[in-house]
Amino acid sequence: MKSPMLADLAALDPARDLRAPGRADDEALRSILGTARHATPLRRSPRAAVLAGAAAAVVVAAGGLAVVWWPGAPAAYASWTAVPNDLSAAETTARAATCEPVAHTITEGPDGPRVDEVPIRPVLAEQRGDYTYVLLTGDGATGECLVTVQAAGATDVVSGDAVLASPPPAPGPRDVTTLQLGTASWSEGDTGDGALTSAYGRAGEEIASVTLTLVTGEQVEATVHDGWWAAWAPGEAALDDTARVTFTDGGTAEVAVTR
Amino acid sequence: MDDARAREVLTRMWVDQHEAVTRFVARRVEAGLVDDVVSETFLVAWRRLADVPEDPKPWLLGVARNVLATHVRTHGRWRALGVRLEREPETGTEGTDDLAADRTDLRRAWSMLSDADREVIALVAWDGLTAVEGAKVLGIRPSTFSVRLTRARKRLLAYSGLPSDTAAVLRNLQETR
Repeated sequence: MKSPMLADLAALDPARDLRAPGRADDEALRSILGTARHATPLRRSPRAAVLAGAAAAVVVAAGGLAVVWWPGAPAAYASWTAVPNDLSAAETTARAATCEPVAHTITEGPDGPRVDEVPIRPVLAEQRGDYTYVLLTGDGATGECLVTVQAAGATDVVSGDAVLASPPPAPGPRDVTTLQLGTASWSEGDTGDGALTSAYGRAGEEIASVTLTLVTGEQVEATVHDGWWAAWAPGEAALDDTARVTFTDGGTAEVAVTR
Repeated sequence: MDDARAREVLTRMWVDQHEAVTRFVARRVEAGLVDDVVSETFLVAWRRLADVPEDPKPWLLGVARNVLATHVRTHGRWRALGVRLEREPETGTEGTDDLAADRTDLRRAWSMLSDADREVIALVAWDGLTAVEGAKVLGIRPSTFSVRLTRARKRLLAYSGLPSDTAAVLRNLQETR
């Protein structure tokens, strides 16, 4: 039985006056009934989440890696530069503060999709024009985050995260390993879509620089910091599968950037 | 279950439960996200129709809660998942002065509760669930739900019956324990 206090609380229900009866001919119901009943699990189905319409995530899955990009970023990258600008430690911290400090695993459970969180922290941040890209890592998980500062001082944040099949091994001193390479896209319903192509991985301690090449021929200089490297380009750019690496002793090499 | 039967079952569920799920979601996120979360919840039901229990409401609210968590974390507004209270009414719309004063006390007390306390209370007071049903939504044992509800109710009662500064001290004490 409800206590008088709970009865009083009922009067404060913000949805008290909300009427939303479901009708058998609702368009939303019809579109659900139009989908396959036996869908593959969310993390293996790139289109699954889009069915929800606006603000849905696009899930890009490959191998043991599921990358989820969330909406919120502007679609155009007018000020993007192929060479990143350094950010001060303070700026990195400030920009990274808007990034989610967790990666998510989404698994289908008996009670619907279940979300688990893995803590991640920033390991690298770089700026290209108006865009700050932050790479975050944690225990067997990584996250990427693109922060755009708007004219009014507001920030747009789009982020993706991945849980790795196994934690990445520490690279040898002259090794470059690739954990992610590809295009992620997101949908914001009617208001806009976005995409970016990114690559990141581990860099040995003798790696001074990593330069990627777009299939258009444009070279994109990656940021190398604290054992990690990362670079991104606007939209659905395709990247060559080799990169030029410069070592701290001045030597260079071509390395494969494939997962 | 054949497709025709499945469509029938989901349509019935939609007609019967759409409003309850919508209200549950509307208390937790901004209006623009409500329809998406509700649709996604029923989409999960469609795909897992065989798992939906005979009384689908607690199951649906539990799914909606998971879907909400995904959406809200996604948008960096994790804190917004807490159950809201009706906005402060315009002056003069609350009936008698005594009632208005009670509501103000209750409102203040509610604002001092933790999100977890608000959630168990809202499931009972607003969603009209029993402890067994509420426990299903949260994925916990009914006895655990009852204990949480009792404690939450005690705190709400304590905060609403005390002068606001005393209530704040009490809350701080409980938080540091």
